[in-house]
Amino acid sequence: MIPLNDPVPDTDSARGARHSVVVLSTGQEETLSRAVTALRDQLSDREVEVVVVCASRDAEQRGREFADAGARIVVAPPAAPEALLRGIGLAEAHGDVVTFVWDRQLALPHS
Amino acid sequence: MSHVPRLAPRPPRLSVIVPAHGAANLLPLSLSALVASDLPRDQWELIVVDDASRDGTASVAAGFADVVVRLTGEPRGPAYARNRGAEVATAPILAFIDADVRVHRDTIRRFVDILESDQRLAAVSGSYDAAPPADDAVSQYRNLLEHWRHQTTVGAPVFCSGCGAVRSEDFLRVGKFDEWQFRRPQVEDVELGDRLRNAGRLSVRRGDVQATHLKSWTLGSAISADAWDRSLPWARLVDAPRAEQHLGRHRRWSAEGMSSALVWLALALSVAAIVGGPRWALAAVLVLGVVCYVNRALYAFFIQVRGPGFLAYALPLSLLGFLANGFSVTAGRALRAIVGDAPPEPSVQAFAEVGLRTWPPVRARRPDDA
Repeated sequence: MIPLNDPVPDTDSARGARHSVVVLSTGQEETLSRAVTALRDQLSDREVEVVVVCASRDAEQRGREFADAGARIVVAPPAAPEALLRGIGLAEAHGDVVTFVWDRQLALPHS
Repeated sequence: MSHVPRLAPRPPRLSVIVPAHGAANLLPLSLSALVASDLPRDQWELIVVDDASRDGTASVAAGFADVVVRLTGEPRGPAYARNRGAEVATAPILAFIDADVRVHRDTIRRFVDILESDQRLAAVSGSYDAAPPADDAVSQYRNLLEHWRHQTTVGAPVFCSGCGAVRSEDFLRVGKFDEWQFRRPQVEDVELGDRLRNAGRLSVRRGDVQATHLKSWTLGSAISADAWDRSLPWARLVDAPRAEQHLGRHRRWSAEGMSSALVWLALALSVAAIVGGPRWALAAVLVLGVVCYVNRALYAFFIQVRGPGFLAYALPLSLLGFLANGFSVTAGRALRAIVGDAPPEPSVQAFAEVGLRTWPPVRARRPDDA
């Protein structure tokens, strides 16, 4: 996992907050690959905790890939409703500021 | 402004910021209405700031929001919470919608359309509608009174944080909400509007941009809100005479001030009638008649929307409100003259002076006060 921000003095109060990103995924191969690419590109140099909540039992197999991209994967029941995925994500995230995004909405490099 | 990584391909046109404290029961109503807005969902972001709730507010918010900001410790009030939401917002326009406000389908789209089409405008406020769902007499009275106040100030240069939008750059330029002075839901939005005007920026209230106020009121909460959270801080913390001057033809406080004075006079005459006889009582009735005449348009509005029977509730509540406001405005002006601005808690002041930064951050002074 990418290290969280320390609550250290800074010039802007929001910088003192710990940030988490919860990536919601239905577990489709294409969007999971997109998520790995996007996370590597955008978050690898940031101190942000990334939690991928994936509604697919197969997702666990991609754990190492996501770990390399700086993310932790949490497996949710297949076909879990969005509200459940979001609730799991919020519970798993440690950040003060938690951002939710669907894997299919992640911006790819140079997009 | 934001330090949250931008994950979406395009920045949104609008950031909607909802401060929430203990609002787990109301958020499904307010947030689902926002999500059902006719502004395409990928063009705006929803930020909910949980102000140290203990009722699962954050969990409910997570079901709808793009960003949930979790504040821990003691609740710090909506001014503070909105500022934290604004700090993580990524859009050039910020809309502030209270957790107990259910927007209409077109509300936030209209905010964006108005501000994008008129670059002279810094802020636009909406109006609460005339269909509040809380059906008890006090809630109906109080929510309809807000609708009336909003509709009679259409076009006025005011800002309303329950349902209003402001350009991000103007919001930052004037120093955000004054979280130093306003620690509860008070008149922090009125004060922000005052600063926007002083900075030469235009704001306007629109009567056709509406939302429903879901709040339920009790007699105590209605009087307390009007007296302690509105009239008193208005008189104490806002330069009321200057603000009145800015309102021009939209001035309302003068009429409310006169009504308050007359109701206090009627009360004094009623007390005098106990020893002085019926002539004093007649004088009191006549003075109350003048109050009714001064406020005839308001009472006609109540009759129009809820029928003549509703006036049996609304009239005494209105007179009680004038009594409370009269007392609070007098007390506020006295405090302003004698004590000045309310000092913050000593620990907050000490932390602020040292420059300690933690999360949640120490309550900040406005830049021009620093």
